[in-house]
Amino acid sequence: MRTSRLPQGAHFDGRIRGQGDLIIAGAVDGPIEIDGQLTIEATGVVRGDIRARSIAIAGHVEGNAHAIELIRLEPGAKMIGDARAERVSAGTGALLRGRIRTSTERAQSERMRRTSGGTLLAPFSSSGGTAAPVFSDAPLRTTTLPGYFAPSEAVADSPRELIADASPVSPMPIEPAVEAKRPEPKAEVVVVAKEVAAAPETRSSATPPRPVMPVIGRQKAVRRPEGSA
Amino acid sequence: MQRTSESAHDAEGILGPGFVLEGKLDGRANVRIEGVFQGEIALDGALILGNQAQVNAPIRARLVEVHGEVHGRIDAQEVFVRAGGWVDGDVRAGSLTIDDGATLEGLVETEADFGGAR
Repeated sequence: MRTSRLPQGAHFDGRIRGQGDLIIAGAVDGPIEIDGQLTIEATGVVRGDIRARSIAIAGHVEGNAHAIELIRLEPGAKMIGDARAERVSAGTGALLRGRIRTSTERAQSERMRRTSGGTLLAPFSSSGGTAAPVFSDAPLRTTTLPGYFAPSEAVADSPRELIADASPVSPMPIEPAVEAKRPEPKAEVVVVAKEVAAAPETRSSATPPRPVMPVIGRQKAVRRPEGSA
Repeated sequence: MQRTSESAHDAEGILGPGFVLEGKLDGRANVRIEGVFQGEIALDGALILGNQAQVNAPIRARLVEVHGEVHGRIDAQEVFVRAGGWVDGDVRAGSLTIDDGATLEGLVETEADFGGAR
């Protein structure tokens, strides 16, 4: 069976739903929702939200695009609206004005779990450390860190410990806990513990999922007058 | 009839059996519909409704060929209702051909110099 195709010269004003692939070479005013591949050719214009398994755009789209797998903007494509898919790619010469969201719901919740588990690095430990642990897992980490820091005892007083504090938090919450059984200098523990206590606090103020999407939007914004001002 | 060959140069489109369109289709193109269409069709070109087509719309086109099911009036220079085709509506055409095994229910008006779709 041939792929469905709205030809150049044709204009459809309304709603398209369907099963299978669809190529738009004409103009559509209205939403498109299909379960296959949606291709908007260079001559194609869509004003409306589009939803498909994957979407390739070489023409113009004004509306939000939501694909399960991939949204690809070819050179010469112009899209005004938000793009949401597992993967989004925009070739050079493609114009996209809108937000990109490359996470599926599942990925989103996974990330949420990861960040609350400590992957998110506290960007500034300078927030005057009120030593009161906010999270219940804070004590676990105080025992964790000394083990990690053990080799670099000598460096403990150097300013680098702030940075060091940020990195070890990430992938290994369990292994060091075992190491921690090794008796280590107490003083070391205290210093580090202070830093650790600061980290959860900043984490609580900066809610994890927030920074994910805007990063791209902000990058765009920075190029605009905002950045120069 | 010359118009028909002329319109063959226009882009051709097809909307498969899995598709449901609700709205108005117009423009200069030849289109084949195999799915469900609800609304209005005004094409400067040929419209072919496949045997799985279910169209509920007034139709204007240069040429209309029906293999499926149409509810609505048809305005065209040439109209063909093929075997298995089913038209429920009035037909106004320059020429009308109804094949064996086709069904047409409605008023028919043919004019030799009918201009077809504008």
